[in-house]
Amino acid sequence: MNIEITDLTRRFGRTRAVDCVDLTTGTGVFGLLGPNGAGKTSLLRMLATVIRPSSGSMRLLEQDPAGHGPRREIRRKLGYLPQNLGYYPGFTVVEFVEYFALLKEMPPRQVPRAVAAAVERVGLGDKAKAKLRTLSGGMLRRAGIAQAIVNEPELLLFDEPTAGLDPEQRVEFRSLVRELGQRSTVVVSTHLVEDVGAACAEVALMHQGRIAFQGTPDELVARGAGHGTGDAPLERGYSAVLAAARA
Amino acid sequence: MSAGTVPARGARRPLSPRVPEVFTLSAVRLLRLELRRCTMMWMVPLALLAFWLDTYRGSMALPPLWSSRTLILRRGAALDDFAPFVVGAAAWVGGRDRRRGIGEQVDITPLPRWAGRLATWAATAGWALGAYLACVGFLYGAIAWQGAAGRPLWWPVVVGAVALAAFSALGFAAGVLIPSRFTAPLAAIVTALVLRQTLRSGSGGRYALLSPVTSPAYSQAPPRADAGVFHPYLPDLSLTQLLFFGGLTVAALGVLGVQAVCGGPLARRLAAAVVAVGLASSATGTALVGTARVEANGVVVPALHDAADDRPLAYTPVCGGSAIRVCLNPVYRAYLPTVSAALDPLLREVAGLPGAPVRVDQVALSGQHAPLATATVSGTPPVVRLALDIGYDGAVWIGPGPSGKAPRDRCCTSQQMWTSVPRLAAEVLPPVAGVVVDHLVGHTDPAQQAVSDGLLRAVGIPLGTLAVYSRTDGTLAALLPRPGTPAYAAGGRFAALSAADRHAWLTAHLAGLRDGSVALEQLP
Repeated sequence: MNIEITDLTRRFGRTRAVDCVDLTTGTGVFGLLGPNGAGKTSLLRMLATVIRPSSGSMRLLEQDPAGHGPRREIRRKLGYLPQNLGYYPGFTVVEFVEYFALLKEMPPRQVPRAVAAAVERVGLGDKAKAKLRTLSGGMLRRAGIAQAIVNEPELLLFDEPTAGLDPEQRVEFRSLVRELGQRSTVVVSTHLVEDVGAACAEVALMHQGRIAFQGTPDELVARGAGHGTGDAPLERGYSAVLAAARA
Repeated sequence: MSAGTVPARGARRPLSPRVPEVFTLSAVRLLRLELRRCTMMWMVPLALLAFWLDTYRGSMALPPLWSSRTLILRRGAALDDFAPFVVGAAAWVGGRDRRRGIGEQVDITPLPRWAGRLATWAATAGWALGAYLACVGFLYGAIAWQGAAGRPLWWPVVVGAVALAAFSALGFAAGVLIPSRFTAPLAAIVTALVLRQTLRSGSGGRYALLSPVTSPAYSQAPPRADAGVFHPYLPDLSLTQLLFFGGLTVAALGVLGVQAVCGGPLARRLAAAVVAVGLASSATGTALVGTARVEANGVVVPALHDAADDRPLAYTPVCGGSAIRVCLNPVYRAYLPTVSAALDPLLREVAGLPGAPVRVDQVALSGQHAPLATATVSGTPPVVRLALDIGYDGAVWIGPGPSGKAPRDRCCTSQQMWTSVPRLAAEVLPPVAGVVVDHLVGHTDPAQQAVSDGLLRAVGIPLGTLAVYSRTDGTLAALLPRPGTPAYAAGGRFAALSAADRHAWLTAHLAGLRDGSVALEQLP
């Protein structure tokens, strides 16, 4: 299993952003759903080794990120797209991706080819030499995805990856995620349930720091049968689970 | 975005490269990337402009001597031009990760954050040092191209480069520690103010010697116009400054490693050790400068001093002049005709007299704040030892000055002064004539005073100027006869004689005049 977390908790002051979460998943695409403030981003940041858990245990790629050596090894095999992508406006797309490839300690001789491949995969080939400051929000998001996948990570963490993408790009992104999920563990945190339905083999729904539901998208759809509100079956399942959790 | 463009993947490629490869190719690629997009490169034109206006134009207006055309550079003007821009740009670059909200992304990369920051700093410092060295190289190239006499001085260039690296490291560390958009402009302003304050606090103690930016008006040891001409350039102070600024650079870079959120305990311990080494180096420099002595040849730091540097440089003087030979250091060969011509009226007057100097030899300046010219007569046979401050920067100020009553007047540039016989005759001749006439005639009795007065008037020296230039600090002028006295009248009569008559009378009576056996009434 690439992600094994047990009783994981993260507190910010008195607030429990993540509260006793247990989660295990292997290769494939894992969707993380939930309303604002449910704890999705905090959980993702712990998985990305940005922040440390307050309590509980976590193993990523079969290593404990608490130790410096294992954490560094995990980071070599990690791709992370944060909710708010930071970037250097003066860098071109290629330079931005190359920068992260080098920070990820990729073998230098493989960097140019890997960068070109990553930029092509996100559909920015024709904008490869454009400065980031000239790109639209959707293009920037794609540049962020390119930096996350440039090292062909074994563990990929996407926080709101489709925000700002147009429908056509979202479809292409789902296709990319499915392809990546064949060999890696991809965790996608999103508000958009249709992304989960189209790309994820497994989904977890978080509410107030806890996992209110974990299963396949079909199981989530089943939860919504005859219950909840929403235009699509997944949305009905989503709202039914949330309603039950709130109750 | 297309899954179809994904290249076929076989076995997963190794993601842990061998360490040497990381340290070579990765570092080179990272540095190249940073160099290409470094903010400092946008500051370079401003620094170049400041250098051109401040350092280059001023330097090239000085006499074509290495020791003088590097004078402005040795006072740290180039560093003063560059430092605020470098500090500001470095602080801006240092704070970019947090300012751009990219800190989280880079913090979770496996490359120790310290290494990444060092690459970013290296790019900033690289641009700054590259521009600085290019400017200095251009200046030195232009000086060499124009065939300047003497030899280039390299220590100040090295000190300037290391100080600039220290400024960039401090600015970068400030940016990392305080990642605000106001940090960069504030750091630049503070740097400019600190440098200005350093100029003015130069007389505040030996520790001010550590500053590579000095003011001739305030510093205990401003750069000399004849550095490296008569004695080897003393590197003691430069070495101390290198220790100090090198230490500051290392310590500031070490702080980046201690502060870095990403990095194992080993990296942090290493960074702490680097900080300690840097601080120790700076402390050593500070302690050493506390033992420094300002001597005639420069600043001596006993622990670093090489006694070999005290030995004068060997040279074969170049000589000219007709009546008495005037010999200068070959570095000043270009000024021999004007100096000889300026001294010629005096030397013709005294040539051949018993006890007259047989030669005028140029010697090193005796102090840090040297007047335009000073002279002594010594040795057997007597020789005039003449120290000339050729090649200082700025305007030449003439007139009685602080020791006199009249204010000083602005005259001309150094180059204009030393290439003009009338100007040299007005400024250099009086101090030389004062000591030569005093040596030959003396000034203790009325007859001696009258003859001294007559000789000086015959040479064409306004007596009032002697108060400034006399080796007796005005004593000679005070002892010269006052207008209306019999001695003054006798001096006037003596000056009115033809040169041949004066010379003949002096040849016959100089010995008696010196031992006091000639009365005022016996003068012609």
